[in-house]
Amino acid sequence: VSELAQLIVVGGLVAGAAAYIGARAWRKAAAGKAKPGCDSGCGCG
Amino acid sequence: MTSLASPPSRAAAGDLRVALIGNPNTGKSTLFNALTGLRQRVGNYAGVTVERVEGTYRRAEGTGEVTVVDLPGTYSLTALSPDEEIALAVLLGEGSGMPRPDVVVVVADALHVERNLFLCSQVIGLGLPTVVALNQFDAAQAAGFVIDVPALIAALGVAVIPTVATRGEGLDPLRRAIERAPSFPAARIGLPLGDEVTAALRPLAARLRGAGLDAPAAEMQSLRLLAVPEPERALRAVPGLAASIAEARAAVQAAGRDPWRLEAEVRYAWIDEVVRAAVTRAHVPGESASDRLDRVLLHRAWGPLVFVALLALVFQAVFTWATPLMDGIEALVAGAGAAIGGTLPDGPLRGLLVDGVIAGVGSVLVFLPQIAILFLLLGFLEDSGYMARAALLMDRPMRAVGLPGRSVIPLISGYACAVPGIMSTRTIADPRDRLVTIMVLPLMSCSARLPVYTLLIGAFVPAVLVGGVFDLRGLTLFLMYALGTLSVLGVAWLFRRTLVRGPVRPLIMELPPYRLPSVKGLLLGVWQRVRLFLRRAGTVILALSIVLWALATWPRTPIPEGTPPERAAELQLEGSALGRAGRAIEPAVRPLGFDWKIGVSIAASFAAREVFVTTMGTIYGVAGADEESGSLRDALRAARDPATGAPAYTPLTAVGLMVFYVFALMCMSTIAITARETGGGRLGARWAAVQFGYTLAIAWAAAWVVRQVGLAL
Repeated sequence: VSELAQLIVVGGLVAGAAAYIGARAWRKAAAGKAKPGCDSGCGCG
Repeated sequence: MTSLASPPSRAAAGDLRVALIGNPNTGKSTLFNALTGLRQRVGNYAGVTVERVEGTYRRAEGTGEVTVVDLPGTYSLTALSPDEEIALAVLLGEGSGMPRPDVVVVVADALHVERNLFLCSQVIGLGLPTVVALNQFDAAQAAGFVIDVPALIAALGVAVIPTVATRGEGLDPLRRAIERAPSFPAARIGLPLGDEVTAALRPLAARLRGAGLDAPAAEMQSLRLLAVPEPERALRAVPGLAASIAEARAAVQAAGRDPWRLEAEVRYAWIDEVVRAAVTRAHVPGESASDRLDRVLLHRAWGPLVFVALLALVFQAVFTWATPLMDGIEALVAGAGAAIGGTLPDGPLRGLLVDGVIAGVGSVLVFLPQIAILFLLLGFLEDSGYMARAALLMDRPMRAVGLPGRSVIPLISGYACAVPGIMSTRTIADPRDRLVTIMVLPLMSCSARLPVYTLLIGAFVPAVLVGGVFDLRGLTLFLMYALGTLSVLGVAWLFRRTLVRGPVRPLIMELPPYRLPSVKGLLLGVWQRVRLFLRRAGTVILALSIVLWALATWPRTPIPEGTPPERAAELQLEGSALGRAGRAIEPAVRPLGFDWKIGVSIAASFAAREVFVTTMGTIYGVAGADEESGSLRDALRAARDPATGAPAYTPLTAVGLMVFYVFALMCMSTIAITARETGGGRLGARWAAVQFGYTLAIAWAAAWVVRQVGLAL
């Protein structure tokens, strides 16, 4: 596997992981803004 | 207002929506699991279900599905606490986006028919098709109760099915009764209100009917609202309701009755009659085994001693039992790293997999056995009925500092995770009591702190016996948990005297009998925690490992020719984005004796506390010049300060860091849930900021004190 191919795969993985973390942080922030109510998403983990 | 009038949902042919409601600890969740085949967590104490949980099963008669909703345990529908409000909202079809149920199953404890009939009478009063599951019927018989079920059916006007949910007894008749309930006319129970009171309530009932409630629900609500200080959200929108309630209260008073106590008085008068007709006690058994055990375990002097000794043994076992399993996982992780390192050619992908994913995720996975053992033992204490006694023992010191009795169970839940603990504060009626409990709850050491504690204890605390019995490592872990628990008392005391003043209520709790926990139930509890841990490892920790590795690898730093490989790796790390961020953080943690690596790991652990271990794993994975490096514990022990050559970390650093983590609220999920449960919006954000700020301040100060005392010694 050439270094360039490795770099492309690694770039994709890092971008995907960063997007996941960003989306999770956004979801948590939105959960904090919401008013309390009856729901099942406790947000744990 | 349309939702107030919403009819039962039965839209889809054959499908039924069933709400399961009952007093706490009546076996509701066990019955829910038995009906649906799901594996909802059950416990031998009140308050296990704090959220709405749904499951389905196929109808036995006809076609279609039955959806069962397990509601939080509640003693009444008076809606004084948030969980009671949730239960009432669901029954009225007000539960966020949820249609009104077609059938309500009231799970009543056959051992305490009298108390359980209060909720039964309120639910039947709503006019919904109702079935009563008389659970723990065998235990009631063993206790000498003879329950005349046909007489009970005649008095209530609904189907009453004796069940033993733990053994699956009575499930088929219960399923049939559920399916047939909608075809019967609504039951009416004749509360002894008298003509004058009935007339006094009539205008209020008429106003509620005008707002869309059906006649039985309007009658039930008109009686209930007399004792409610402020009607819940849905009813507040009824025009002129406050004036109608005030008029009804005045009219009831004019009729010679106390409006605030009227509902309780008439319902208990009715219940007395029903119980006289349907329940007799053939014999009163002598002192039970539970009573005999309680004489020791709840003893003023022995009780707390046994409690402390039991917890010390639990933490002892966490270390001693887990060691061989941890060694096995460590070997597997190292083997996987070596295999991938040997297969892939040198390059960024190999670096990512070996130093990022395997070093990062693997360093956390190693702690899986300890988490499993901790929850196995805590589950045993919980299911055996001991945790309810522990709650009672903790009530006295907690009340002394201003924590309400009802906060005990949420606080104990905090040992697993602060998020469900904060959710379960919904059982606390007083908003100030609830707020102070939420504010201190993250100080209880949760399972995410366990990897941090055990990594540092494993690396820096020797395995020596103390007093010939306790391993110093287990004892250190116990002390960390004890420090967190004691700090809850101190901080609650402070809150009660500053931001959240008010009176304190004692704990009123029914003690369940001791029982031998089922192996299946225990393993299920452990599996749920393990699955959660693995899910975190496979999602957020994996993603963070990848990002942290990238931050620790780039940008590339020019390394002078001839630099030894170990020094070159260290220079590259220091020049990376992570290294630069660490250097920026370092001044804030240097007074605590922490270097930039610890500083950046603390900052990263804001996403999840275990990420501290992941970050250290990644840093030492990237910095490790040879691929054969051992465990993270070995790496921490061997780490040297590049400037002085002295050990980078000492036992004092480890203790300071553990104490920091005892207090620090490094958890995004907890902050989000605190913001939501303290009111949401700006108000919630403000309380979440106060919580984060004070925990961080105490954490920093405590770690500084540890360092100063340690250096002085």
